[in-house]
Amino acid sequence: MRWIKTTNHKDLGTLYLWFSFAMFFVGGLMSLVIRAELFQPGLQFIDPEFYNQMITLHALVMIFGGVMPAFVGLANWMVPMMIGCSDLALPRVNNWGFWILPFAFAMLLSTLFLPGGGPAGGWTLYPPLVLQGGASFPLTIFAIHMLGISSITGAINIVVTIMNMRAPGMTLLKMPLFVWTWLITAYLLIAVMPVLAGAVTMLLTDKYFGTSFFNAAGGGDPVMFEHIFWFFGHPEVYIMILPAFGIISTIIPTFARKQLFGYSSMVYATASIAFLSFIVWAHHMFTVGIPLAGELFFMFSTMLIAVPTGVKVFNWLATMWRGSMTFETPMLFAIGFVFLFTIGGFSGIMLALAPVDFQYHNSYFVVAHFHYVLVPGAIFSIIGGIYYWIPKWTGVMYNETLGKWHFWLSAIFINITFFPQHFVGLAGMPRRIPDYAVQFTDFNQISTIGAFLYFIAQFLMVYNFLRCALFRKGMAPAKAVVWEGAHGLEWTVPSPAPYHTFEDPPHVGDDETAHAH
Amino acid sequence: MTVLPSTQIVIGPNASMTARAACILMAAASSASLSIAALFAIRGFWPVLPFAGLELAALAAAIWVSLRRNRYQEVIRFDAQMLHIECGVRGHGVHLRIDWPRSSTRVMCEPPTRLNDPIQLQLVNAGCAIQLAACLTDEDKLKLATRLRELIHPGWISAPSTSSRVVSADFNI
Ligand code: HEM
Ligand SMILES: [Cu+2]
Repeated sequence: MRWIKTTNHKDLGTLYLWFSFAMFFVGGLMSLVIRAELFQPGLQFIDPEFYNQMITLHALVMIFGGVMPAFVGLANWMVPMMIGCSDLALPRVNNWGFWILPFAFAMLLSTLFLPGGGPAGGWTLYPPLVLQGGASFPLTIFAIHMLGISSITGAINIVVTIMNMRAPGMTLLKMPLFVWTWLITAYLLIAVMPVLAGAVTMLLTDKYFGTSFFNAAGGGDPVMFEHIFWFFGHPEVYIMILPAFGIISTIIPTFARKQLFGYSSMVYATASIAFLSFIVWAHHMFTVGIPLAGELFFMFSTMLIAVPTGVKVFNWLATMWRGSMTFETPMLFAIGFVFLFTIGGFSGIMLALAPVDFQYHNSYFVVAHFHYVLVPGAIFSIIGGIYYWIPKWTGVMYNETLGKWHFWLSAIFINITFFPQHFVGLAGMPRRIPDYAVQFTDFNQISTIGAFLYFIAQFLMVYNFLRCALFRKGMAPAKAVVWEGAHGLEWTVPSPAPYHTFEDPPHVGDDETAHAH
Repeated sequence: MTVLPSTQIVIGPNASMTARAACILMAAASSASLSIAALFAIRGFWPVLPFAGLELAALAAAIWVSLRRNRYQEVIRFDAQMLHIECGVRGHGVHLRIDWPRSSTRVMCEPPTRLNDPIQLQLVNAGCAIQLAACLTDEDKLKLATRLRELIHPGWISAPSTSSRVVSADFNI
């Protein structure tokens, strides 16, 4: 009961993180179903309709159930501690925002048991295909609305907290980067969630109320859906990566034992990325038939994003340069992030080239690209962040050896999973198809094996975190300042906060020592 | 017995956003969201607009609530025999007033029963308790508790220091 009613930011942060882990597990199982089917050409385990449902739900679950709640959970935990306030600005709204999520996902996943199964048009929900879905369609839209409300309440809460509840002296340009990146992320959410809500509502009215927003027969324009969706969708991908940048910018200075190189350039780079994310959306639509000027504009604006992103990557490298580095698990994940996210960034620049995108579009190359930025990008940062802060949260240290094993296995298996997908994609294997030409078999088998091994390796982390979170009896307490290089308000209170009772009055003459608390 | 000048502690949330900053924030958020929504509306895709409006209303409400909570204050005044506690929203009068003898009041800094609960700081007198400083961080509550103990401390044991100074970030003496 107390977990249901709790308004404490730490409890809600914990709930968000548990929930996202559950969703990562569900979404991960779905990806294994997909990968199992793709182990061989031809159809083995599932029929094509179910395959389509799996890719659609896998994406929705991972994005809205896994990555976003995980970042909200981390924000819940860390933003108040980092800016020196006792809780978020609206603790009760925070509680509602969380509890919408389980209902939304229960509804979304229950569509699998309806006649006709779950949504199968891909997470991008393009009409007219998506309108052909059965009973799952309105439920999916409803679930997306609920997820939107949850994201919005979270975003509003975080913006107001950061703006109004900073400790004295914590000016904007003194805020830790995780706080900065979350502030900008929350702003992005506020700007684009109404666009998503409007888009899916128009799908609903097109199907049930006779409107023709996207229905060509009624004078509507299906391509406009793509414009509207990606106007939301591209900022959305930054919503999933900016907080990751904040986490990496927190971890690297600690383990390099140096200050973050170029703090203000990091802030400006984050803001520029956020701004640019609004003017690049049609790079998802190069092949749809937009005017040449449009192709050029969206090509160059997209490539421009490489500049602030490059600033960030070089700042991280410069922070590590000549630092006295040590390689504990959080640092390993951060360095893994810098390498592997950058691979995803490079394939992104390739995709931004309008002429060559005509070859890459809708191929497995795209799948490889966005999984590089999402898994060793977003997810590595989440995992690294949890390893970094879990001693603070639970008061006990995770097992470092297991953590290192977890990192190395994850880093190796993730590359085994996704690197070969670049090759099959360039060679012409389309995405979202359960069957493929025989010449793609070898690489697909490697990819499937990698995916299963990656999944199994995550249990090292599950064990490690469960021990700290639930079964910590008998474990040695963590030091107050867990990482010697760590700075910031969140480390000033011993971990966990001590039990003080002040039974005895301070003695005469003891005043000074009492003050020093 | 020494006669002590009265000392006062004011506890309140730290308001880092002025009303002006709130207006700028609202203006920035609305101009972006509304122009996006208007662009879509002009092309006939008006359903984005009501969602943007609803959301901006929610943002405005959140800012308003948060600014209002900035004005909540707890004032503890000490004189030679008594301490006087007043709680209320600035501009809206005092909604709780307590006067307790110093000698029989105790500071309780309740340990949280669970790991991540916030520390509870209470003043207790003859079976009555009042919770104070809920808006402070745990660290500041501990500092405040220490300071309160010094001040409440019966005058015949030692004279508390009553100099006016800032003890911590969030509250002033
Ligand atoms: C190791 C973990 C993962 C594996 C093995 C995996 C695997 C896959 C596979 C096989 C597909 C289907 C490709 C196709 O047939 O077109 C897919 C699609 C997708 N995945 Fe993942 N995935 C993983 C993690 C994630 C994460 C963490 C996210 C997002 C946060 C994500 C987002 C997506 C999206 C957006 C799609 C496209 C769905 C669509 O085409 O509509 N994946 N994934
Ligand atoms: Cu994009």
